[in-house]
Amino acid sequence: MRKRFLPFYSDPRYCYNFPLMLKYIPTLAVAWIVLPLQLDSQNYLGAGNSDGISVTASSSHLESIWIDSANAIKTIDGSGMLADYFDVCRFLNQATLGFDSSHVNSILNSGLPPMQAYEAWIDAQLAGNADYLTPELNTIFEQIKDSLSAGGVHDTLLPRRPGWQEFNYAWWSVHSFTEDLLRHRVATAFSEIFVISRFSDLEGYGDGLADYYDMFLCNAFGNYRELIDSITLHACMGHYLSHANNPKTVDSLNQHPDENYAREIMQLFSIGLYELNQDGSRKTQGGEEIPTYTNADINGLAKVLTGLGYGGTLPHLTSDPPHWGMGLWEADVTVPMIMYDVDLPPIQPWWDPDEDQHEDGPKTFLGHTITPNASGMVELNEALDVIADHPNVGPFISRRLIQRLVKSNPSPQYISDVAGVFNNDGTGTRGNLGAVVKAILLHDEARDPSYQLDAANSRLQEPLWRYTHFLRNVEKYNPNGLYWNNNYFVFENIHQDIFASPSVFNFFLPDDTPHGDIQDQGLVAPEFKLHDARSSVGYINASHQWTVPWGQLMNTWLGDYMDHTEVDWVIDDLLPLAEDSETYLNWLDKHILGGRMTDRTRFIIRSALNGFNPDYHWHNHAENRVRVGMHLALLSADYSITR
Amino acid sequence: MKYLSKTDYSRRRFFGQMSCAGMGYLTFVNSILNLKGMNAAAMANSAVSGADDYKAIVCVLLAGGNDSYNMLVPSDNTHYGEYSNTRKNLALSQGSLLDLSYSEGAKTWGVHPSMGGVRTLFNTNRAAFISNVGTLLNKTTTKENYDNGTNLPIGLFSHADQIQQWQTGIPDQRLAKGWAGKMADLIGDMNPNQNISMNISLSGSNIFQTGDNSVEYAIDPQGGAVGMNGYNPDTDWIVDSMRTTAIDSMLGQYYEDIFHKTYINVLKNSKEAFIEFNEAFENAHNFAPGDFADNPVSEAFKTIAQTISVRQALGFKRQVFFMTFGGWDHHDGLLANQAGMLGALSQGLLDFQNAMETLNTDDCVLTMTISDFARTLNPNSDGSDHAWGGNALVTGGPNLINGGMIHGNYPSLTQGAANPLEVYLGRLIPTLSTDEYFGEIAQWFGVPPNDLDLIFPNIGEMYTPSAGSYPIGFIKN
Repeated sequence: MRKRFLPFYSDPRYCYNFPLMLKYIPTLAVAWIVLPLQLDSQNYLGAGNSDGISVTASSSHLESIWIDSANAIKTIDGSGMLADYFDVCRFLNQATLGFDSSHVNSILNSGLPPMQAYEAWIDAQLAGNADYLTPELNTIFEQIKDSLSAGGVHDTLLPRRPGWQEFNYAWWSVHSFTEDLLRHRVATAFSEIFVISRFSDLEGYGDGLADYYDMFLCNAFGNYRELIDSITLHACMGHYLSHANNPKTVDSLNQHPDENYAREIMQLFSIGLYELNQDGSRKTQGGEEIPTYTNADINGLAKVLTGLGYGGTLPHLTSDPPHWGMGLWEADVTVPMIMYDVDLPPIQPWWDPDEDQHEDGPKTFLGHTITPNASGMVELNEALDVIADHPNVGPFISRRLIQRLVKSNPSPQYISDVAGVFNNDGTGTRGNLGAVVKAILLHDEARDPSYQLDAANSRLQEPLWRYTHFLRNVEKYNPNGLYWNNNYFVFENIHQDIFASPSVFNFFLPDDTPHGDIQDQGLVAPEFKLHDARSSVGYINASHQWTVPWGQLMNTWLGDYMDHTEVDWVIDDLLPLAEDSETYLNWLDKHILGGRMTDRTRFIIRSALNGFNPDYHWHNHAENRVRVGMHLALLSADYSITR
Repeated sequence: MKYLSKTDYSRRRFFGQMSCAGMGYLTFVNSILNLKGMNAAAMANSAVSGADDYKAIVCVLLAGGNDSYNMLVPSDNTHYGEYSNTRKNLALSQGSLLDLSYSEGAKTWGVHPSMGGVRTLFNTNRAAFISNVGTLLNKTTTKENYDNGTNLPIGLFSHADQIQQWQTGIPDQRLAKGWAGKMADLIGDMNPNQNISMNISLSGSNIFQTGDNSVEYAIDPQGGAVGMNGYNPDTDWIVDSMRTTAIDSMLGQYYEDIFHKTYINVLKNSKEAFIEFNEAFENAHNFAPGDFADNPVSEAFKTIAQTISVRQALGFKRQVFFMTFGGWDHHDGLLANQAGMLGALSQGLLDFQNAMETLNTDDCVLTMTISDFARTLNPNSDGSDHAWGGNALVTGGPNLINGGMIHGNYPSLTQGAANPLEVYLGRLIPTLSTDEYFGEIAQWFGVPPNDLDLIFPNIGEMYTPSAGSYPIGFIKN
C-alpha cells in the first residue's frame, strides 16, 4: 500500500508535509477512489469541525490562544492542521518520555529542513550534559532525614541509606523538568533490556538503583562494550543475578560456579538463543535453527565470572574493609565489583591471602578458550570481548531498542540497517550506541510519514510513558517546589515502574503478542502484556486519579513528616480554552495526542464536554470539561497507540 | 506435529454446545457415531450428567525454579546420607524434616521443616507428591541424549523456555499458547456463562491460560475483579454520568485498526466481566478472619475460594485458576529464603483445602504446582542453579486424589556413574513427563482421552490415553 505513495513522498519537499496531505484526503472525494485507505485509523485535525457550530463559536476567543482555536477557514486551508507540528510530535514521541510544545517549536523554528532539524536535535542531545539521578537522590535523602529528625525520629532510627522510594522521588523530580530527554529515553530502554528489579533485596538500595540508572545515562551514547562491562561489574547486577561472591569450583564441597549471570548475559543482554542474520532473522542449517550456546558454554563462562565481589564499603555501616563474601548491606553499591584473586600481587594490603576465589584452569565458551592469565579481571575482559564481538549483538540489541523507541514490528531491513551501524558506525567503531540511536530515529521507517498508514507499524505506548508524557504537558504545582513521586498508586494499577519488573525477563519479552487479531497477522505487540483485564482498567483508574477527582499528579508517603509533598494539576490556563469545547479538543489533540485524535474520539469527547452546559449554574462547566476531557483523551486508544 | 485444526475446533465447540443444550443430544450422538472420538466426548463431557457437576483446577506457578529436592527429602539414614553427601551445605538437617506417613520398604521421606501444613494434608490423604517430573520428548531420554543433545526439550535449564514449556506442555517448541487455554477452547462451552472466561488469572496475562480462541480473565488477588472507579450508568452526578457515557461510547465502537481494536476489546471485555463478576462476588462466602493467613499467597487462595463459592451464580461448571508465586530462583541464600516461601505455600495450600471443605467442593477442586525446573543438587556456595526434573505437589479432597503418596519414582540423589539419571552437577533426567502429569489432570477435567493429543501433541510418546485409566494415578476417578 505504501508504494502507491512513492511519487509523493519520494520527493523530499513533500515528505515533510505528508501528514498534511493525508489530512486533506477525506475532503477530496476523488482521493477516496484513488486511495482506498483504511481511513478509520487516520487522524486529521479539523475534519470533525465541519458541523460549524463550535467552530464559529471559537472565533470569539482570545488572541493568545488563537493557534489552538478551530476556525473554518484554517480548517480548510490547512493552516490549522499543524501538519509540521505533528510530524515533530511523532519524532519526539519516539525520542523522549514526554515533551511539550517548547521542544516541538525549537525543532520547528530551527530553520533547517526537517531531517536536518531532527538530526541537529539528536546531535545536541548527544552532546548535552547528562542529568544524573544521584546528586538529586542525595539531596532528597538528606532532606527526608532532616524532616524525620525534626519530626522526632531518633538518629539511630533514621534510614541508613535511601531505598526504592527515594530512588523514585529522584527520578520523577529529575524527569519532571529535565532537558536531557533522549538520554533518559535510552536509559529507560536499557532498564528494560539489562534488567534489575526492586522486587529483590534491591528495594532497600536506592543508592544502587540510582547509580545503576546513572550508568545507563553515562553509557547511553557510549560504547556497548563499555556498557556491558559496567553492567557486569555493577554491585546491583552482581546481587540481582548472583555473580557477586561467586566462588570457584571446590570438589570437596560439590561446589560449582554459579551459572546465573553466565546464562542471562548471553540469553538476554547480548546474543540470544539462536544465531542471527544481520536482519534479525534466524540462521538455519539443514532447516534447523542454530543455537548460539550450550550448557557447556554457560559453565565455561561461569568459571570466568568467579571471584567477583563487592568493591567498597560504607563507613557509616561497617569499619571493615571490603572483603570476600561481605554482605550487600554493608557494601558501597555504587563502587564496581572487584576480582578477589591473589594470584596477582595484592593491590590492596588488607586482602586475605586465602581469598583466591577466581577459578584457575582452562575456560572455554562460544568456541573460544580464554588465554590463561593470573588476573581474573583480564580473563573476564577477554570473555566480554568475545561476547561483545559476537555477530548476533548488532541485530539482537538493535531490534530491542527499535521496539522500545519506535515500533513493535521493525522490518528486517530496518533491523539490518541499524545493526549495520552497530557493527560499524562509519568510522570503523563497533558498538557506538549514540550512532545506533541516531540510526533508529532517522530511519525511513521511523521518519517517513507514510508508515503511519499501516496498523502493522504500531506500538502500544507503555503505560508508564503515557503517564510521563501527560505530566510533561500539564502545569504541575507543589508549594515547596518538590516534584517527588513514589509512584506506588500508579504502579499498583498499571503494574509498571522503573526497575519494578517481576523478573529479569522484564514486563514483557520481545516476541510477546496478544491473543487475537494482532497475533493472527503474525505480528508482535509485547506491551499488551501490561494491558490485561486488570491492568487495562488499572490504567483508566490511575488516569482518573490524575485528572478528575482532585487532579493529584504525584505523591509520596512522607505526609507524616513533611507538609505538602503531593503535586497537583493546575488547570487555570485551560479553563478559558474549555469555554469552547472545540478549542479545548484542539488543545488536547495538539498537546496530548500529537495530532492522533480520530474523528470518532473527537466526537465522543465533544459530546461529553458539551454535556457540561454553561447554562447550568450548579457546576463548574469549564473545570469539568478540562478534567473529564483530559481523562478521556488519556484513556482513548488514539493516545495509547502510536506509529 | 498435530495442532487443533479449525475442523477439530468446530467439532469440539459443537459438542460443548450440544451437551449444554441437552435436548436432542442422544439423537444427535446416534446419528454421527461414526465420528472419531464421539463416545469419548460424550463420556468425558460430563455436562450432561447433572446440574451440580463442577470441576476446578488451581495451578500455582512457583516461578523461578523451586529447589524441590529440599521440599521433599529422603529421611531414612541411607537415603538421607546420599542426599546430604550430594547437597553438602544445602542439606537440611535430618532431624528437622517433618516425617510423612508414607514409605517404600525402608525408604522414608520428610518435608521441609516449614511445611507443616503440607505434612498435615499429606498425612490425611489430601496431598500427594509427583516425583521427578519434568519436560521430556520421550520416555527413554538418557545421559547419552543429553551429551549428544538429541531428543531434548529446547532451552533446557533456561527460565524463559522451561517456564513456558510447563505452561504449554510442548517442550520442543516455543509457543505462546498454553494447555489451560486450549482446554477452554475445547470444553469452555460447558460453562453456561460465556461472558467470563473459564480461565481466571490472579497474575495477569499468561501463557498457560491463552488458547486459540480464549484468553484469561485477570482479577486482583486481593479482592476479585477490577472495575472502573466512578463508572456508573445510573449516577445522578454529572461528572460521572458524562464520563460513563463517553467510556461506553468509546468501548462500543468497532475499530478497524487491529491495535486500536485489541486495546479497546480488552477494556470492553474487562468492563463487562467486572459488572457480572462483581455482582456475584458480593455474595461470596464470608470466611472467618483466621481462615486464611495474612500473607499474599493465602490472600490469593482466599480470592479463589470466594470465586468458587459463587460458581453457581456465575454459571461455571469448569474453571481453571492460575496464580504466580515468584522468587524461587535461589542462586543465593537458598536455605534462608526458601524456608519462608515454602512456609507461605504450605500454609496457603492448607488454608485453601480447609476452605474447600467448608464449601463442600474439596472433591472437585484440584490444586497443583508447576515450576520452571528443580535446581542443581550441587551447591554454588549457598545457592543452587537451574536443573531439570523435580517434585510437584497436588492437593485435593481424599475422594479426589490418591493422597498420602509419592507418585512416580523418587530418584536416587547420588552422583556420577552410579546414578544414570544425573547429567551434571546434580541435574536429574525426569522419569515422569509433563504430558503424563498434565494429561491426567486434563482428562479428569473433561478432555476426551482421544483428544488429549490436540493439546499435548507428544503425549503418544509417553502413554496411550484411554478412558477410565490414568497414567500416574494420583487422581482417583
